[in-house]
Amino acid sequence: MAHYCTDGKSEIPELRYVQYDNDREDELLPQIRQLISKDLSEPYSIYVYRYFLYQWSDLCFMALDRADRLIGVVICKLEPHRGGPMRGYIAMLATQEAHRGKGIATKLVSLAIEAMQARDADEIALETEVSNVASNKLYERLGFLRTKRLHRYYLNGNTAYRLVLYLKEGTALKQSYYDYSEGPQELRC
Amino acid sequence: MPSLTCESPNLHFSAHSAASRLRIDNSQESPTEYSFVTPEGTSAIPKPPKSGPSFHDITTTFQAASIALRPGQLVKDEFFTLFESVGALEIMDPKMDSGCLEAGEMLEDDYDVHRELLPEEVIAVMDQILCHEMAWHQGYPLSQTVLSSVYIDRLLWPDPKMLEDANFDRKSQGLAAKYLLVDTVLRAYCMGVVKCCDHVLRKIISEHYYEEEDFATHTHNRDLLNGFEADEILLVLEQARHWMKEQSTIKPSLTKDLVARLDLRTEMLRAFSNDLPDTIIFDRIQSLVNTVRATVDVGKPVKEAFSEKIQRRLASTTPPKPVIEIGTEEAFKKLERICADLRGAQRICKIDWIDSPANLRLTINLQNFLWAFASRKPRPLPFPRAFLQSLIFSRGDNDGDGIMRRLLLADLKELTLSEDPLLDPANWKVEVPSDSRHRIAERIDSFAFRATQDYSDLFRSLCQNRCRIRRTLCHVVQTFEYLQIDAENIDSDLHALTHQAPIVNHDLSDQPLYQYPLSSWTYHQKLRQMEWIVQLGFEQDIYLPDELAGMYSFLESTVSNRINHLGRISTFLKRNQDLAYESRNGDRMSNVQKSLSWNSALIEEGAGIFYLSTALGMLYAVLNALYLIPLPPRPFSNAGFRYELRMKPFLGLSIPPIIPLEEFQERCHVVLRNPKDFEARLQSIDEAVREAKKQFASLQKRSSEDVRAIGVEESWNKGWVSSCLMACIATGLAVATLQKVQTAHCRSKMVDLTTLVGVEIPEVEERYHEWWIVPRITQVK
Repeated sequence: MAHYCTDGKSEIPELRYVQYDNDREDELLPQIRQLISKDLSEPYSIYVYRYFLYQWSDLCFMALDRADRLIGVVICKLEPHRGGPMRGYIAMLATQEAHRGKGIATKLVSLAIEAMQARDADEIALETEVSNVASNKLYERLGFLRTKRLHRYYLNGNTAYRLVLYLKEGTALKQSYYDYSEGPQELRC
Repeated sequence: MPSLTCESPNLHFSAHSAASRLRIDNSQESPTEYSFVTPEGTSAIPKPPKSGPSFHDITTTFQAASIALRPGQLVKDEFFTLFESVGALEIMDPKMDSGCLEAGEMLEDDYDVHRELLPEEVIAVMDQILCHEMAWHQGYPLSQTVLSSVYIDRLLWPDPKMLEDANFDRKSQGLAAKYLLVDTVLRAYCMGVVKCCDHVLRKIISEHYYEEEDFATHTHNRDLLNGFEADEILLVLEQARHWMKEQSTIKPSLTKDLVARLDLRTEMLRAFSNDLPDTIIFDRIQSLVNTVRATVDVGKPVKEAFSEKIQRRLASTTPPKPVIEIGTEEAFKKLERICADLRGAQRICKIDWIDSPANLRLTINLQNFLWAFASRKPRPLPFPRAFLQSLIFSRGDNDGDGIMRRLLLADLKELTLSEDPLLDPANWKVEVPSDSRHRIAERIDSFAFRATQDYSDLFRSLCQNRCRIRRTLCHVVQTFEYLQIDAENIDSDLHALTHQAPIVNHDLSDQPLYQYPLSSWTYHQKLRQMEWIVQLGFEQDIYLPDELAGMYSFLESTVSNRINHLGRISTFLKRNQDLAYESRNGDRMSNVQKSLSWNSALIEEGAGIFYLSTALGMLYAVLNALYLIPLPPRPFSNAGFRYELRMKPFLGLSIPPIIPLEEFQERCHVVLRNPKDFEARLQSIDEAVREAKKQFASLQKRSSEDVRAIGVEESWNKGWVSSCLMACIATGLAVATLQKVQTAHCRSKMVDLTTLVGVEIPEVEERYHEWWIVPRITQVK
């Protein structure tokens, strides 16, 4: 899925980090869509956003500037994975290009991880493009490990890594049923 | 088109925005910037069909329902998954709605297929189509490649019922039309391309592959001339060639160039449509590729003859996507690779790996053969991989299961049961059910029956793309775990039937050893798979630099289990050797000897892997200790969680025991208290490297029969053993640099070396072998 960010460190004090609110959809969703779809050749339909935001609005965090403009956003979900561990999934992450390298994405992802931890997540997973060094670094600094390489995962033919972060002991032993088709289980873009 | 919705029990909708976007054209709204068209472009408003489902306007109902919802509220049942939400389309969004046109945009490009083309233009169109075909081989859909050609589109739609229907001019009924260059030569070429695609597609879908990631099998409701025989198309190509040669108005050099392309297509079709093409065809293809390659510049491109808009008329839910462009040289290279790989795959037929009992010793080649094939560079594309699978699993003369079962028995015989009474053919001739020989045969058969599927899956997995090999092995290893448990039970039955005395070998164990031949074989397979999973992890950059110490250490412990296990197996082979000597049967003696030679070659290879992974594990641990490897802060993780994640593929295995977290940790994080400590560590690494080098050098001297590399000698020698030796040398150099650093800077006390030493982890293509990540260590001047 889409992860547009860099692994910066310094934080900008004037930003506010807030949770998404479905009641403010009119104002927020267009901005989120614009930010995420900017780098996508094929945009997600509004259903995809609502799929996440309506069910897991508490796992979506935004960085807003003083004028309430959207600077960065992270969108996630959390549910049992194939009858096994409670798996969080970071679906989308983006920061405005002009604000990259300032640690905004790291902060957003950290907030999401903490929120998922509070909701009893066993693990968190996501996919990133192999060539997206900045995004890989960001997640790996936080503790994610690469678990699989996914050949031609994206529609543009690019290969991805699956990154996984365990949050609890014994997660590996929580058996999921094995899906032999191993089809497109998560979002691909 | 979802503009009018059929009554559907699974209507999911999202309120507010979707409703406002849903604009139904027959509501007679004012003209909008977009207009609706049906996939075939016939009418703006779908007319109610005369029969079949009835349609009615649901606008009012829909609006009333959506008003009741809050903005953003999602109405869905539990079966509406993320996958489905991704598949949802937004009507009137030009990037999602395939019927949505920009203002003034036409549904189709206006290209006249009847226009005359210069010979140079025909050449360029042919070459462009070849590029598209190769892009399709690489995994892109037909819609963005071959079917973007206006000519091919015309050929295939409407679906030609007779060969004559497949032409560019449907109205004037085909061949009776003008004998023009386009209608004869380009048509024949295009038919050849389509038929090639048909055969490739059939081959791929009849074997194991991964849709989209390997290959897109969607034909968008076009029959790729699959109702016609390859011979019929070959005849059309031959006729075109003939016609071409009779032309006097075309410049002779151009005639030659066009004929070369027809010939190339003819040979490609011969190769792709044949289950076992004669290798001479590949030689001809190679020579024709060279001819065509030399005349690419003759072509005058006809860009308009290709259009992404054709996608609108193909069975597809998404708007047109860009046509995939690859250059002619890239296409030729791909074609050459495909042919080389097909040829390489075909060599398997030269190795008698099944039918002859006398050649059973060659059987293990299949595993080595598949690894050699999977390791070819660039990696084989899906078509050659499917071709190889067809040669193994779909041999016309036998069912795949039968072959696999025989192969398995031969493999078993080679590794653990050479000239063993358990596999005495006489056992199968005894018909008295109470006779122990009959029962032994029955037990062996039951194991073979039980194991065949798992064994076959292992071979299948080796025919997949490299990423999938690793992923499927993680599952295969678990199936071999279950197989081992069943094998142990069968082994116990066999022990009871043979009353064979255990062997006492104090080097291996204080306990008397029972043979357990079936579970021994299974365990050996399992241990190898574990090694491959880790080794492919190195290749695929799954492990971060600071994890390398632990993972090489893990590899070391796995391979050491295998070496010990091979020692146990050889103990029982030696007993069979004694029996063979007693029998004074030369064949029997030589067979056991061959198994023993192979056993010692496996131990040698294992020892090479053991020492080099020991060396690299220790080297990375030293680099970790010197802070020369970046250590991510990882605020949300801990060593225990990461250990568990890494061990996940192996946690379900009863044996071998996985090194515990504490030991794993100790191996990753050594403490260098003083220069002596540092020096001693480097010394041990150096010794391990020397030992590894010794093992690989000795392995290199063995015959290809000893190491079961018949038919894949080059891949074995150059691709594996020599590369391992190079990796040993590189590791030795890295250690030598550190030794210099130690002498120069850490004589009396340890100092911070982070500014004095540079460590670089080589990218996969820079390594001597993908499985050995040898750090490049430099002294900063």
